[in-house]
Amino acid sequence: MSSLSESLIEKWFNQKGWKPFEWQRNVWSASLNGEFGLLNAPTGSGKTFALFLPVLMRWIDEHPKTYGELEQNGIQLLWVTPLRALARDLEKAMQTAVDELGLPWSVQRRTGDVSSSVKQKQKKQLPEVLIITPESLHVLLAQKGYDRRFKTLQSVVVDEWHELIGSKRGTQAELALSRLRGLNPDLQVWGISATIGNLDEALGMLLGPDRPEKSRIIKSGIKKRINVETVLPESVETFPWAGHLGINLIHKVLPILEHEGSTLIFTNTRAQSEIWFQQLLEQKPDLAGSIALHHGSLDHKIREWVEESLHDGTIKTVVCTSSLDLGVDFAPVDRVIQIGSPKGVSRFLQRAGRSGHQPDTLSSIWFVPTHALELIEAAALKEATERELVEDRIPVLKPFDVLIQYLVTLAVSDGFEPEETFREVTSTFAYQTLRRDEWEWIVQFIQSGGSSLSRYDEFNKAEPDEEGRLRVYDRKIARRHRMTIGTIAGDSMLRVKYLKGGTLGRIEEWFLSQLNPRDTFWFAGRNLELVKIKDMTAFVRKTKGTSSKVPSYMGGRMSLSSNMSDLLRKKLHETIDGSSTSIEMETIKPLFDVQRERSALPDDNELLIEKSWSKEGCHCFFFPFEGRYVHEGMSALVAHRISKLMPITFSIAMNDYGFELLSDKDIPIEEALEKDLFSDENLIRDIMASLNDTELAKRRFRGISRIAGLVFPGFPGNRKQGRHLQMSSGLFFDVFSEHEPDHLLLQQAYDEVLNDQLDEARLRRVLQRIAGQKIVLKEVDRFSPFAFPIYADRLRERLSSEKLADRILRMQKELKKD
Amino acid sequence: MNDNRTESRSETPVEVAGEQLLLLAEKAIFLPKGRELILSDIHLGKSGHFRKHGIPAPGAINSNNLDRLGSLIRDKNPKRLIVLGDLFHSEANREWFEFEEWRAKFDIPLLLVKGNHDLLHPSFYEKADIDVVDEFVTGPFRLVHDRNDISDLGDDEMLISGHIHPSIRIKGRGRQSLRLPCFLIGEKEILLPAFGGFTGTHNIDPGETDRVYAVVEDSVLPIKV
Repeated sequence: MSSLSESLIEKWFNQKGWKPFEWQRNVWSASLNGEFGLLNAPTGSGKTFALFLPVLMRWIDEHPKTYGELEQNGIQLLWVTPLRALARDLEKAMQTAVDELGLPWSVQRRTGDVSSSVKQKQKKQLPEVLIITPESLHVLLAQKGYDRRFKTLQSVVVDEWHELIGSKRGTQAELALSRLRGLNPDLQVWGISATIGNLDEALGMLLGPDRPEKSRIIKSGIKKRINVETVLPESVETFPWAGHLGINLIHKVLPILEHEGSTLIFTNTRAQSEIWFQQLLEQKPDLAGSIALHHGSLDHKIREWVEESLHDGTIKTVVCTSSLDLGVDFAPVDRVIQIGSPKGVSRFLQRAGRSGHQPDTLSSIWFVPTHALELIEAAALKEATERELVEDRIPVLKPFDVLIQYLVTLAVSDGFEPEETFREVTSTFAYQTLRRDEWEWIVQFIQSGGSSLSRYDEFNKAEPDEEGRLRVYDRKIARRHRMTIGTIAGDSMLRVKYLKGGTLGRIEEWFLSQLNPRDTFWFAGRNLELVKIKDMTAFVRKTKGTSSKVPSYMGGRMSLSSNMSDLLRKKLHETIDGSSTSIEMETIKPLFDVQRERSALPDDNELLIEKSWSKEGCHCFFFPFEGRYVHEGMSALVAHRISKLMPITFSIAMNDYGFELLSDKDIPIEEALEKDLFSDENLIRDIMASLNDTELAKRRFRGISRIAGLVFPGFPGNRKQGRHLQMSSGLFFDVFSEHEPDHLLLQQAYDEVLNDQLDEARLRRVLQRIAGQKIVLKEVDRFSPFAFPIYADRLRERLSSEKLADRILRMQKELKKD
Repeated sequence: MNDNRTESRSETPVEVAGEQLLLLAEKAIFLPKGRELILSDIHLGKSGHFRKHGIPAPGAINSNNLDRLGSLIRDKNPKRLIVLGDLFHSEANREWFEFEEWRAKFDIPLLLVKGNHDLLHPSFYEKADIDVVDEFVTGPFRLVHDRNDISDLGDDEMLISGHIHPSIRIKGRGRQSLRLPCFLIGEKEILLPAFGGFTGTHNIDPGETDRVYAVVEDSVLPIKV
């Protein structure tokens, strides 16, 4: 250590009583050396300072005499973070460091939560360090003159990169990086990632396919010790077979909260968090004052208050959703409770890592199963934690919707020159395989709105200026576009506000539209009465009473990762062959006895199929234990193949363990099995057919149409304005299918299904596994423990090979019979 | 293709207020007595309106609506075409000219019973040779756009209206469920489905005495509710 900056930093660390880790020093010198890379370090390890400090060090060394005076230097560092909840803590910690090191720099955040006056100031002058989410970064790119504001930018750090990979927000980050690199070819880029299965690919996604020579992955080498406990039911006989709330184990969760220190209780949905919060208070009223609720629909002021109170110790317990998934280095908790399946090993480890922040302390996590079969998942999670079986994050490739949104973003600010932008876009990992013809279609699309040959057309969006840069001139279109930037698909949201003022948060419009004034509902941990809905705002007042509705929130249902489903099958097998020693599998044994008695307990060389009858018709349950996504595809494929034997209509349900075909007719499963139901011959043909028979693609199109700007959610604060331009994504899907079947966005919807649910390679692998298995077909009188949770699911896919009119006539006939 | 298709397809005769009328699978009603063709909620110009505001709805929707209307007129050869409101969706855009051109090819009286969307300047309708009225009476039938605008329905009058874009949900065994555009025939009124192809539907909850006819692809089927 010799330079001025290094001795300053050394001194600062000493003052704090800290000592830099070896890997932190490695990152500093790599960064100061002009290298690019990815830092693999867990939360709470000091990763922030590893990448934040070298930016200050370089500045100090470049301005050894003046660094203490230079103000308003323009932006130097852009810190991209996926969660706005993190931004505030980062801002505080970084500003403190800057102040104590004697730099008159400003650290600010720019997220959806930031007030418009701050946004206005940032429009004039960006701070030296800006903390931002990928969406907000695109909002800045949609402002005129962004290139001037970013001119001084030297470095970008993408925090929690693993969290962005695999989502379209990650693609957004890639595109923004490509633009910033376009402005400054020497821009230094680093990422920070927790451990994932494909770190190398993660580096490639961050830096693009032509990654700079001087790039590398630095690993902190920190191994977190994690202790996993399962909250077990007293007896599995009285434990429910289905359900996702987990409230019946609440009496066993309460004692955990009495331990010294703070607790985060993770739930999987916002509704679940509201219910747990309510129930905990009801069971133990003296928790009031020391427990709080935190989820993404709450107003940012409430969330900030909760975060602060957790840090300063006034709140001991927070019930939360993924809104507190990621942590910063400065806000440890003492233990974590996970209610219900986390679906993946990485997410589980991440949440566990929110506790015990010091590198050498033990992280403690309790897993609370919400129904009996989740006990198998509990056993699997323990083994996965021990063996660190983290998943790969699968990159999103070539999403046309995100690209369309991005190009319009550039067009509403300063316009873009197609050739230059093509080079930038194809320099990203996501779009490296973007073909010329696809690019031209998209550029054409934002100018002409697709293949309209009508001479009456007056499509209005982007047009070339005299230099050939594509621009959006219409200010209304520009304004609407800026409003809709963001790739997270969701329903339109209404603000929930007290009559006397004070915003509580936002709720999906469709939930509120089911309520009448004076109806009560539970939100933000309070019982509220709806007074009126006006201008995208639901006015409420507090009320007494408990029997209120809880808003349920739409949202994709996550699938068990393939790592987890592999382990699930392994655990089942260990139980059958008697080699299992796990307490969870011991607990669930009586349930397995019931399964055996009513049907069979399938070993890993068997595929169990149960056929049964109820008032609703004929049910066939299949149990491949492959996770929800595979079952979505497989059930469509199997239903399609059976429906070729006779005209028949299916309603299909699935979960992570298996799927159900339900029909009002006798399902000819025996005949189908004889005809090789699980053959991998003609797989592609049958996949394409089942894709067309189901609504999987149409559902995908919901998100796509919103991102690509087809579906306009409306202006906040003015419900009526914009209404005339609103149309459901389903109707768009139908009219495109009818009029422009080659539309790239339709294509994308089908491709997404083919990538996720109906992935050929994966289905083929599963079918080949089944080919080596013995098929066990059981006629069952009563639903088995495996079947029941699937049967109970109301969310269903449909597939039919009957003529619509025939179907209706029969439905009508049955109606008469009843 | 089956040659009987045009005959077997499409029309279901019903008797209402002593008059015969045909429910057409094209989402229109034909009154054979006066050879009147009644339909509602075409929402012409809607795709153009979206496109003009930068939302790329398929441009072919408008011409498709007009083509469907054209073949229906050729098929039924009515004496008069009555549109129960929402002929044109928005303020004028160039899809109106497409409509004008279409209109010139059909030498048939066109009556527009004004709907909430029909806000164009009267000169547009004049030029396209359209008579615009708030409501219209033919035989026992009183025609309006929105049934909520009528509070003085006579005992011997039967209301025909549009506006709602009605659809019906049908449920069956095996958790089957379907949603289809429909006609509703009540004791005092008839509801028409929306004719336009880019309009969406709204589920109705029929009363016990209501008769519902669903549009199922090429046919109109009575539905028990």
